[in-house]
Amino acid sequence: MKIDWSSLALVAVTTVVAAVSIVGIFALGVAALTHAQVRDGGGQSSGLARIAGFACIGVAALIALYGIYLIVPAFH
Amino acid sequence: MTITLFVVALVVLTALVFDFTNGFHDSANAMATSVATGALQPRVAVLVAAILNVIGAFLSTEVAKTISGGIVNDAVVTPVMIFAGLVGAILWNLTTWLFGMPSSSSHALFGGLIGAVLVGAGTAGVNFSVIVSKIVLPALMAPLVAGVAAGLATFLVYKWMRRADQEPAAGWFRRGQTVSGSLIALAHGTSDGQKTMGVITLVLITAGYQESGTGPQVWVIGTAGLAIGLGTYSGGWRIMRTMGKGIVEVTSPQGLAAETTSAAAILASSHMGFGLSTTQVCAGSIMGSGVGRKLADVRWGTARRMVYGWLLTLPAAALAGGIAAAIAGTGTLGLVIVFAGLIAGAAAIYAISRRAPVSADNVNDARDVVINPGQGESTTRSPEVIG
Repeated sequence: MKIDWSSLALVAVTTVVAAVSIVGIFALGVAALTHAQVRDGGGQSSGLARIAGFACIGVAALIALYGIYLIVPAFH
Repeated sequence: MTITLFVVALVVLTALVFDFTNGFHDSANAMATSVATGALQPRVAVLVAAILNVIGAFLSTEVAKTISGGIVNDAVVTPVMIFAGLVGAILWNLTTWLFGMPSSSSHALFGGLIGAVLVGAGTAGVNFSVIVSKIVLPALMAPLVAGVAAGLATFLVYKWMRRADQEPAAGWFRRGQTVSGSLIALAHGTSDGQKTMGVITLVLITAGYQESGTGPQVWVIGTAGLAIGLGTYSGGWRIMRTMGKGIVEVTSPQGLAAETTSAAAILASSHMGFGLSTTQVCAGSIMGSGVGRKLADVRWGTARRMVYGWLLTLPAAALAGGIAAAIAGTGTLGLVIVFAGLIAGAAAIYAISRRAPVSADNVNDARDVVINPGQGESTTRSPEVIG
């Protein structure tokens, strides 16, 4: 019986790395954005936190888009 | 000749019916946590999932070939055996739906086909080593890996943001969920939508209507995509309730973590050529997201029943497929009897489901799916999960 352990391991590692990085980066973005909202409420400047927040969410979205790109053979 | 045409038409029709049950069985995978956290309205959620299912079905036709090659020996398989396998798969899908049990549609399909071929062609027709390495092993690993990944992601989110499930952060996570849920719907269309295309193509090839080695025809892709899309749109609210409310009381950061993990796992495995069960991946992620937040948050009773359902799916569908093959193999009359049995069985299950229906309006009202309205007291919060 031939079992493709390396492919199984690759799928497992990819799943953990992709999920943790996308969710982690997205969460950092949310943390920055809520920080910006709190500063807004206190009358402080919030531009930097807001930009950082949207940048993080953008990066998370790009990783997800790359995942779709991988499964569509027409793109390759 | 006309008999062959009749059989092929019957198999194509049955395959599309299976695709429909696949759609409403797995609708919950993509959208259950989004519906449970309120990120999407139930009807909007299934509409989005249905459209993305159809688009997903057109994106790729790679998985369609996995069905015909490997699991069963296509040299000895006849359209009648495929028909019997589909009947077994449909009946098992409907039974598990009645109990709100998120079992794997893919395993039901494989089980039905294996059982039918075992009865129709003997052990020589089935490749057991392929079944172990391509189905059983990934089936054991997938929920574990998804659970670990979702648990880790959830743990990190709550470590960094203690109030991640309160406003305003929760609002951002809900918005993220609309995207992550949609990704699963797309991935589901590309993987499960193609399984039916593969079956129809296999039938057309074995009956001599299509060249061996060619891919699915355009009308096959279109009708299969539409069937799974319609099934998804019809919602499968019974399973939606179990997935969204029954396992873990999901918050929006957990929902995002679970959905992202599921999408990543399905996409990664599709890329490597594994036909993973979408259902098991999603259930594993949801459980993991419960463990990642608070160790005692998972309703292990529901989780245990679900695992029993997973273990039963392959043999139960195989048994049903085998019985159907034994009857259908006797000739045209047997074929008609099996088809009539399928319609009668489906109608009976639907009639029973009407006694305690679950719909878009009450999907979030309770945690458990019941068969008799009198069992309603189980919908109240049990003490062990409040803490």
